Amino acid sequence: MNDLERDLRELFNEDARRVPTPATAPKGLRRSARRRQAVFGGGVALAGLAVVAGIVAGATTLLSQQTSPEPAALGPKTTGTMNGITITYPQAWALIDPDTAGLNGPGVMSESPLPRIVMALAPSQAQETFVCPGQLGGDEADPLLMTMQEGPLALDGPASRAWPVELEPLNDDTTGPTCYPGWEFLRAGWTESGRTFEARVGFAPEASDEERDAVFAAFASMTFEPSEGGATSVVLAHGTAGGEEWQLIAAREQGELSLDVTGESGGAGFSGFDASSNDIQSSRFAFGSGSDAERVVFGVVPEGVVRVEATTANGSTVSADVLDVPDEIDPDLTAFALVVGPAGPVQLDGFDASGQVVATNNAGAMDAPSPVLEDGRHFGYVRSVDPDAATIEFDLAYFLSGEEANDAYHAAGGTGPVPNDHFVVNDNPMLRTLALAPDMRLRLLDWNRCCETFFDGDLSLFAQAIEQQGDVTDGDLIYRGLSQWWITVRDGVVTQIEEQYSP
Amino acid sequence: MSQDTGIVRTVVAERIDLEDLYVRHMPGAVRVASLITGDTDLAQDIAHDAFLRSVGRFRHLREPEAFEAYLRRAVVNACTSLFRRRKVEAAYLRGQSRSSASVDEPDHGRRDELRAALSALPARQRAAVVLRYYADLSEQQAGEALGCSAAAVRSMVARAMETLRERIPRSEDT
Repeated sequence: MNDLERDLRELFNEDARRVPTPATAPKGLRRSARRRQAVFGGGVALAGLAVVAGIVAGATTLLSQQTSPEPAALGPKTTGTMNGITITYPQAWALIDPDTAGLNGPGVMSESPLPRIVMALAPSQAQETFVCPGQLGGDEADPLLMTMQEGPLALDGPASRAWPVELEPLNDDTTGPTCYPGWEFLRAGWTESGRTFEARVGFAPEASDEERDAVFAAFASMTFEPSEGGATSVVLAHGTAGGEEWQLIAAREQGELSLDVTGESGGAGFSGFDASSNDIQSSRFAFGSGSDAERVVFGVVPEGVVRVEATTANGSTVSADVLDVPDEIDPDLTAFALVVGPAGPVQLDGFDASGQVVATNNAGAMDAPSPVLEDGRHFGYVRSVDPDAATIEFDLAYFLSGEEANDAYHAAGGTGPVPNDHFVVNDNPMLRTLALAPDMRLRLLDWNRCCETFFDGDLSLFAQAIEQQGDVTDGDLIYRGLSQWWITVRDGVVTQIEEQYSP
Repeated sequence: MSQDTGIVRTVVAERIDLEDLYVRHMPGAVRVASLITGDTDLAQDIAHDAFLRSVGRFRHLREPEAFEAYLRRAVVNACTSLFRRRKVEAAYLRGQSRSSASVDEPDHGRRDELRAALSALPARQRAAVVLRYYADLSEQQAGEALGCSAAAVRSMVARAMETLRERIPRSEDT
């Protein structure tokens, strides 16, 4: 090893030792991961199943075979029920409990109400079929499989079709052909007995005609029971934003309504609504990137609002009728969803049946940030500044000192006393877009007279420093883009940003 | 039907507790992100986000041991993408200089020079150096994290080392 390599190793090891690392998983990890997994499972494929690998070609033949569903050569049939789905299938096959087979994954998914896999059918219990049969060879893996996923109740759209439905080609080539070489895949989505399902069927090239017929017969035989306690989540709206399909899902968890906008790339949730509020309570999530990006603004409206209109900074407007949240999810609240441009504030107005504006998103806050910060003083990092829109993106963190700092430092793996008698905990990567008050005060440290003297800074220069993540000077005044900040929030808007001294 | 041990391990691994997975893999991910970006707080965000993304794909991994490599790749991608987007290489120098200012080091000057020289490297070269000399990955493994060949890693590291040698004075032999 030469000197430079040795120096690099020493430098890296030394710097790495100083990096605070998490000793425990942050609160909300399961919910965050669950949302990601739900998005993945719902948007790309059945969660846990590499059925996504299917590239359907020549499915016309398969479809035509659905008209003669009675299998002839696979022996006697049996009927089984799983998770409220009753199905008749060849006795020699296996009706597979997805949880027992691990198809719903670790606790992350098994805690998730929906979407989740509720049934699987295959000639055997072999898990190879659900992982990567292509790596085993045709003789060892099952030549077919069928899975059933239950999702949030679809109130409209293709998934709300009534049963019975037919399997259709699945045009999805999101993964390579390694695991399912030459397989053909079909899917169907429908809603029956107050539940919304998606079935996916895969056939290996060596699947016989009898086996295919047996699958179609089993599929057609299914009957469904309502879920106990009624629906816990529903798809209120769906559409396309930034080139990506999204859904607005209302769910009842622990007695509380939550709204989630989800797409393949991610999503945002919103809960903790104030049922007595006279304002429109909203959040938003951006899909796509660059000039193609669009935001889905969503939330709840007070009673009496029948239509919501969004006005963006350039004066364009979009509007939509409100969405009824089913009583079993929440008897009181009414939701909305709108697709607007990628940036800038959004004014929301709620109209009653006579066309009068009866609610707004608390004018002045404009596009209510997601999620908002309660009034008070908060520590964190300013990640971006938009002087024109008068907003910042704020990363909330916690500035600890004294014993709290020592405890957190040790919990993060540090040894000895915490350096500089303070420790910053920043477990949550969420960025909050916060509106700035027109008279917002920007108090920056005067580093030439460090460190208790402040000067009133200029927002544009501050924005420049944050954008560059570096220092911007104005005479002998220094704007530090990499500093730490205390923000003061009053009535939902930022009234002061103050720099935190750190050595 | 025969049992594939790799598949069995995958199924077992899918039942691993999420918190356990987080605690086992996040410290390393945060450190790698921090060394590449030079920003410990940003590194936490990057690693956290990469973890959530990786967990979403976890069940599709044939080998559970591959999760660490998958996460590392997600972290490296996020770091290099970030640098492409935000051009914060200069911030690396300033951030590191400030963070090291309070550290009592016998070779304070040379360390700062080395940090400065590292900060001036293109992001992927810096990531390659971190993966090779901090994470101790082979060229093949570093290539998997960077999404390139082992030869490309060798080339990136060689160019990086050449640049570093040009920019910092040679240390005394010890």
